[in-house]
Amino acid sequence: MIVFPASCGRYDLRMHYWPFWLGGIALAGVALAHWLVVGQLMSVSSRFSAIVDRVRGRAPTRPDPIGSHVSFLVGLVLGGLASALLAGTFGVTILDVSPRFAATFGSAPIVTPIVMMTGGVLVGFGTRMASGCTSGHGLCGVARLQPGSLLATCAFFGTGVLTSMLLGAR
Amino acid sequence: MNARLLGMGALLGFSLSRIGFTSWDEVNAMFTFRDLRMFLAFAVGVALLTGAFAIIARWSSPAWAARPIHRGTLVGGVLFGIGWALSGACPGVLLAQLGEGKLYALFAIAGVGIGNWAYGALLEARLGTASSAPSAPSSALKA
Repeated sequence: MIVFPASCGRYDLRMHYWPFWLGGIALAGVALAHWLVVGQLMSVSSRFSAIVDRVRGRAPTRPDPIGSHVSFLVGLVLGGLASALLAGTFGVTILDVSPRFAATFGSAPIVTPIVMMTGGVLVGFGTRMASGCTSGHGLCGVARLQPGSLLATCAFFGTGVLTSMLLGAR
Repeated sequence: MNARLLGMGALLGFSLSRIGFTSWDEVNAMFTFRDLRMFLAFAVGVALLTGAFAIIARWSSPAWAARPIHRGTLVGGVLFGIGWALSGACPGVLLAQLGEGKLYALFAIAGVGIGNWAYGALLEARLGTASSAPSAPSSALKA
């Protein structure tokens, strides 16, 4: 039985988050395993793009069968489910995001769909425009010192910090 | 269903959840430097991966796609960062959140679909930023 190290998280106190070094080993391990097992570098946003292209009836930007993308995305859901069940934190919520989310945006129910959808549109538009997200650029691209990945990663971490600081400053 | 990809997705989803990337508050704590733990986790991950990829590249010659800077790189990254700060999630995290029961991720997933669609339909051809597959299947370790 694996004993998960004590929490560093202050907000979702029921979830015992991994310490930074274990998180880093896990991220690198998953990306490496993905390369060894699948034979492709790990990438999530390009799978979204392929599915969107398929729905649009356009030639996809990556040639893999659509089932492989769906499999990976379903796997992500199952991984989150397993984590929450093992930690005893599974709970269905729709509008109630978190204490700090409510402190930032207010607790009116309509806020959650508006903020989430707005953020999602920016994530979808931006990752497709930059040709990658946190996995393809941030992990696998930066680790290969690719110029596009270094620039994109600086940009999204930079504006992530800036946006969060501005939101918190209200 | 592709069992290998299902397994890889599950490993990533589990890890993202355990690190805290599926929590809006943890992501906000990272971006406002109230808690550097997830920044450090990411940095350690990149550092380890840099070494591993360097060894692989020396030992074999993997067909890894180059990631050059193009006309969408900077602006796309900027927009993604704003969206990440608002929704608290990058693309992989959204699916892991669904597994945790955080159904508000559905709003963001719908948004990702709309945004991805909009860029693909409106600007991709004009700016010429469409990327190819992230890497060709490897010859040595063909799936």
